[in-house]
Amino acid sequence: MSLLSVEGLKVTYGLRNPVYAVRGVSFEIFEEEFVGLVGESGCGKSTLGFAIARLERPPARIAGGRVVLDGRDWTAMSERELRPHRWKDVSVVLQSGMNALNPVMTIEAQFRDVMVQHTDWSEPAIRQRALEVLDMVHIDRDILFRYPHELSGGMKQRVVIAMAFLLHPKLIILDEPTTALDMVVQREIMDNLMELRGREKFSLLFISHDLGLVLEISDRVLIMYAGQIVEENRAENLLEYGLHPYTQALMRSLPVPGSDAREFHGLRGSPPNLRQMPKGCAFAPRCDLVTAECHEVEPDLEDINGAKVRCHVVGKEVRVRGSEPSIG
Amino acid sequence: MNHGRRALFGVTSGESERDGSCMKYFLKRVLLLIATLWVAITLNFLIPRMMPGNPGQAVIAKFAGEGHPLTPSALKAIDAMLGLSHASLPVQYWQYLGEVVHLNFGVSYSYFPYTVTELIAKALPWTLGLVGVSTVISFFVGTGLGVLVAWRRNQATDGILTSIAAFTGAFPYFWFALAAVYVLGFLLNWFPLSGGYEVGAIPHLSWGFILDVIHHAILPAVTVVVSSIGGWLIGMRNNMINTLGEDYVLLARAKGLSNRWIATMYAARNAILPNITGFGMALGFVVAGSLLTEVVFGYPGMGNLLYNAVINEDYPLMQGIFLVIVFCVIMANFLVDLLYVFIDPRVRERRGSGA
Ligand SMILES: Nc1ncnc2c1ncn2[C@@H]1O[C@H](COP(=O)(O)OP(=O)(O)O)[C@@H](O)[C@H]1O
Ligand SMILES: [Mg+2]
Repeated sequence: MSLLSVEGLKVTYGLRNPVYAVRGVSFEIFEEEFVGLVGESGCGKSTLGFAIARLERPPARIAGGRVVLDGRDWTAMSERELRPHRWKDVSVVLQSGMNALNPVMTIEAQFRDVMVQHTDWSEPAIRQRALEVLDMVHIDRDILFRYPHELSGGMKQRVVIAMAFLLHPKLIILDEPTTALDMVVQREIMDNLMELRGREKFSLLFISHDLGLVLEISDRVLIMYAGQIVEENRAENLLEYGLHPYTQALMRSLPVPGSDAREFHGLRGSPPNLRQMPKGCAFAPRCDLVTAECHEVEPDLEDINGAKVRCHVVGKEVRVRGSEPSIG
Repeated sequence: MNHGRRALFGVTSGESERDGSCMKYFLKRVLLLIATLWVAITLNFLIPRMMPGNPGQAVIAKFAGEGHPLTPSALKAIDAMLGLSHASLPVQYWQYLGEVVHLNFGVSYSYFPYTVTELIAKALPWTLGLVGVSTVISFFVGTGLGVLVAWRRNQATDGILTSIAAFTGAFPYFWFALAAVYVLGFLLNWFPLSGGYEVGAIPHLSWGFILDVIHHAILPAVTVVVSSIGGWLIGMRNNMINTLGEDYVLLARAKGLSNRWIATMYAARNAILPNITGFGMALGFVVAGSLLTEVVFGYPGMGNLLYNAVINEDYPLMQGIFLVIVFCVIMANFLVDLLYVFIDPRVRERRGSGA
């Protein structure tokens, strides 16, 4: 059974003239699996991540669908019912880690309160765990009694990651954990995450606009466009061949080894307005393979050789070719 | 190397260096305090001497006109405060500082033969008791309600309390106080019309007298609280709502902490910082701000004293009160600066090393 199962999740902002930020998203995450979520900025990744952890804030509202985490339907539970499961079942690392720490509490106090809330650990055990997670992210134990403003941006983000591990969560949602950091620190944090994978048992939802980073860390990748999953595929398959035209455009924008240039060729236009979605496929206006059907009928997310893709053209193509025995 | 509690866990901390910057911060504040006080006291010396005419001479003339003989020591104090003598300015300044240090501000003209110091000593406790206590109550209740309505923003509690706060805050104090006296004192006779205690009573420590004082204080205190509480409520509500939008509050929710803990330690603890500065200002202006209240309610405090001093052109008394007001403002700011060290860890460095 999957650890996390998201079923037809819809999230909107506002009641009158709403923004349809997440439009019927379904996927699963299995135990100890690392899943990546990629898409252009504004396509609804953070909104989806927050909604999964039931952290949506007004005007955001879950307008439909379910989130089942470890057998419990989080969308059917009240805040009071959710509280005992928070941080134990799922912890989050926010996009702007800089601001995720309370400026008036020491790191120690911010580690402690969540352990006191959820466990009956003794005082030494609490301290021991705090030091353990700091060791895990390779930060000096000295910073335990410091305040956030005394730490650099990279250190703060590591502290936030360390905090996410405090209660041995089943799932960690990382929302652009390295976006605000320079390349060196980003590299260190990515290496650190891979290293942790070998030591701790947890599943990961890694959200980023950077397909390269996501491919590096994920077993399976979800490609998001305009509030929908347009492709779900194993990372190793994607490295060879993306199915959806949007995925292919993203792949083309990856840096080519040996060249510094990182051009975004192949994608014209801009994403659709999430208040008024056009009829048909959301990607049609920017697509090279577009057909008449694409402008009329919205494609479904269809299974193809163990992957899923939301495209009329590619779907048919691969199905036809897929009937031949030798497709890789 | 590592000692005590932390050694047990193999942790050293930056606390000692933090203590250092804390000390530096404190010293800076104290130096600034002394400098500001000195400037205020010096201004108090210079202003009467720069005024057209000679206030000192006028005071002496008034005393003489009323047939009050001035004792030599009283003359000397007025001399020092207002600049009657023909000694050189530095000599006068030196004498003046001596008088100030000994809290000797001369004799009041309008309350002869009381000294200014005696008058202030008698009036100050009333003002601190009435306006000071009201200000403190107003701050704490208003701020607390602000936290509450921000937590329940856009619900009924918020709508009702915030509207009331906006209304009372916008009401002109003077008319409000007069209306309170007229309706609750004069028409309904629930409260005395004026004074700090029953006419003819002699202030002393007994339950009867204390109850009498409280009975006299309720109406003016309520007017002060009602007129100022809305500002605290709305200020705190706005700060809180901003803070509630911060990432660290969202993360606190993700951590599954209790609402009470999030509202206090994560939201209110950060939101209250700007309000503390306002509170310091309000405390500093308790003496100066007591004027309207005390005049309307005939309260025997500093505001009334100042009012009478101005009416009677009682320069020695005005100067003495001026010094008290300035002293209160400066001290309140000093105390708030110190308080900040405890409530905002970022202040130490920012204000301690920089600036
Ligand atoms: N508070 C909000 N009110 C209205 N619309 C919002 C709000 N926050 C985000 N959105 C909209 O929701 C969409 C998805 O945003 P977001 O989830 O932050 O995207 P991403 O994380 O992929 O960059 C965007 O189009 C954005 O304009
Ligand atoms: Mg985002």
